[in-house]
Amino acid sequence: MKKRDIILIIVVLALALAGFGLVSLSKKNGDQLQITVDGKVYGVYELDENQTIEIGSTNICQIKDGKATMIWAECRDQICVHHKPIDSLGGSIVCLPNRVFLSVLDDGKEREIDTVVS
Amino acid sequence: MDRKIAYLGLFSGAAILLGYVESLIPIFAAVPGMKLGLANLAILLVLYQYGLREAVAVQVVRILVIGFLFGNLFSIVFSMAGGMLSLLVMWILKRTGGFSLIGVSVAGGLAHNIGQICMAALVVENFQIFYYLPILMVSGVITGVLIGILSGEIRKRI
Amino acid sequence: MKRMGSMICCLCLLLSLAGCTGSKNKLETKEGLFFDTAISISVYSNQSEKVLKGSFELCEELEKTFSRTKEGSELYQVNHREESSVTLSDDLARVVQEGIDFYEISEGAFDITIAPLLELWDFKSKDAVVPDEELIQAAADRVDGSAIHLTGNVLTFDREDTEIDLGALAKGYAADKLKAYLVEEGVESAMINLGGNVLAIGVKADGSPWKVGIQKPFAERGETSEVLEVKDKSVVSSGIYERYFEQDGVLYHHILNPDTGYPVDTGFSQVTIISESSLLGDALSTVCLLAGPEKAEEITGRFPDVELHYVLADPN
Repeated sequence: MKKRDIILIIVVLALALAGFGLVSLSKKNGDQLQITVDGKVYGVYELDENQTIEIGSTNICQIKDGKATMIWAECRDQICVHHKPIDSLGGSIVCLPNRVFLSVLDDGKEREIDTVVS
Repeated sequence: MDRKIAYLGLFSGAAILLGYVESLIPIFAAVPGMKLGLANLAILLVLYQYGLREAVAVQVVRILVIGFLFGNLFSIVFSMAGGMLSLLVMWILKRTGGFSLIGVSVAGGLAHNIGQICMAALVVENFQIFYYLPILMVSGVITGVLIGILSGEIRKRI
Repeated sequence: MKRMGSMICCLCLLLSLAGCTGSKNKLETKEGLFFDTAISISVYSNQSEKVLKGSFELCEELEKTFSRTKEGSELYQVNHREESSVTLSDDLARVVQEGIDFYEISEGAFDITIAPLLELWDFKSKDAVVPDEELIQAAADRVDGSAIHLTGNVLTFDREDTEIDLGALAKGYAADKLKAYLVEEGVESAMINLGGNVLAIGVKADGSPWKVGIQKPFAERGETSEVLEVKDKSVVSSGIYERYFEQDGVLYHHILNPDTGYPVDTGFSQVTIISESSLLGDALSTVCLLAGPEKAEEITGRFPDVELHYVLADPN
């Protein structure tokens, strides 16, 4: 191994270390919405991307401006459709009859509310 | 001449085989793009035994065969980006003469990772995957050193 | 070659150091459907998957004990008994005892033999209607908390047609039991939410208290009227907004007067109890709702370390 090899390795490692630092500093990245159906994870979606997600044939979830709502549900009570939108501050929406859960994944960030007693 | 072609065929075969062997080792699958780079062993040897042109030929054959066997068009494009960049960097470093096999191998591994990640970022238009870069750099150094030592030992024996 | 070896060691060390930042305990949450409601349990633990699985197994077990409607549950069998005396499991006996105690404390307003009335009103159904007067009367006649007696684990019924419902207590008991299980498994920080019952274990991983929002009555689900900061406490809310329907401009909710068989005009729309035990909180929240504002303060005052929060009903 030559001297330049060692210099190269050290430089790369130093850059990597700096990169780690940068990444951990800028780790403010977007919150995610997790959808589970019947206890199984159906999918994880970025909250900062506007999108409409069909959950099987029973529910439709919409993410808009960082907020997630259930816009349609095939069930009698429609409780989930009337639920307040959930956002990066946490929370979850439940469609009891179809066993669908929407929840904002915890990123260790300080939250306004951890849970709601209803 | 025929002898050389036969050897290059052998190296290509070895590179493809090493790539396949690597796909059987699951430990490095934790981060997308993280690889042992075993195939680089063969490429490195060709580069030192013959030269750039031969190494490019083996690299192209390897990527196409592996791509057609196990991958798809995307994986071929990714590998091409990484593989060619890696080869180019290794060739430049070798020509400067100031680096041993280890340094060349490290640089090649890094270039491969960086090339792939840039390609991936372009294709999926998601630049968050650059978060993986530091991890890939560290892993690239480690595997690069290992591959460098290994190819040095092999070179002594062939 | 020796230098090489030490070099590789250094690299490995570096890599493992870098890996450390990711191993901090994260809050893991699991959701499910038990006790007729959506529940969620969140834990900070290095073996969260295992303890969450264990918690949900416990829920399943408890549901098989306390469900009134699930055929084959222990309570179902007690309600469909052949003999006038039945021996209960420890879990069921404990909760029935709590029910009998609060029957006395509330002077008969809180009655676990309310099952016939609940069955008749059927608030869970989408097209619930006010039942016939005579049917309500007949069901109310069957409600009689003084007709059950618990000695040890043996429950004796004076009447054949008495049926028990533990909906007002089972979730509280389940929350306490889940907490005991998690603590036994070494969990120091967790949040159990069984719908109307929230039980916090310890504080959050960063040392700050858990923030529990209280549902605003009759507002959008998830909209809160108040946020409480708690550590190691149970928060239980009961309210007339949980299950109700409207007919001819009148609101009929699920907090029934065991004597008349009709919804109680309590003066409250919601009662929240903060206490150590979630079973106590569950019982007290319903008792207070039944008793009305004046008596509620007096009753909760009898228990040390119990806090009462409430929202009065809209006079209209």
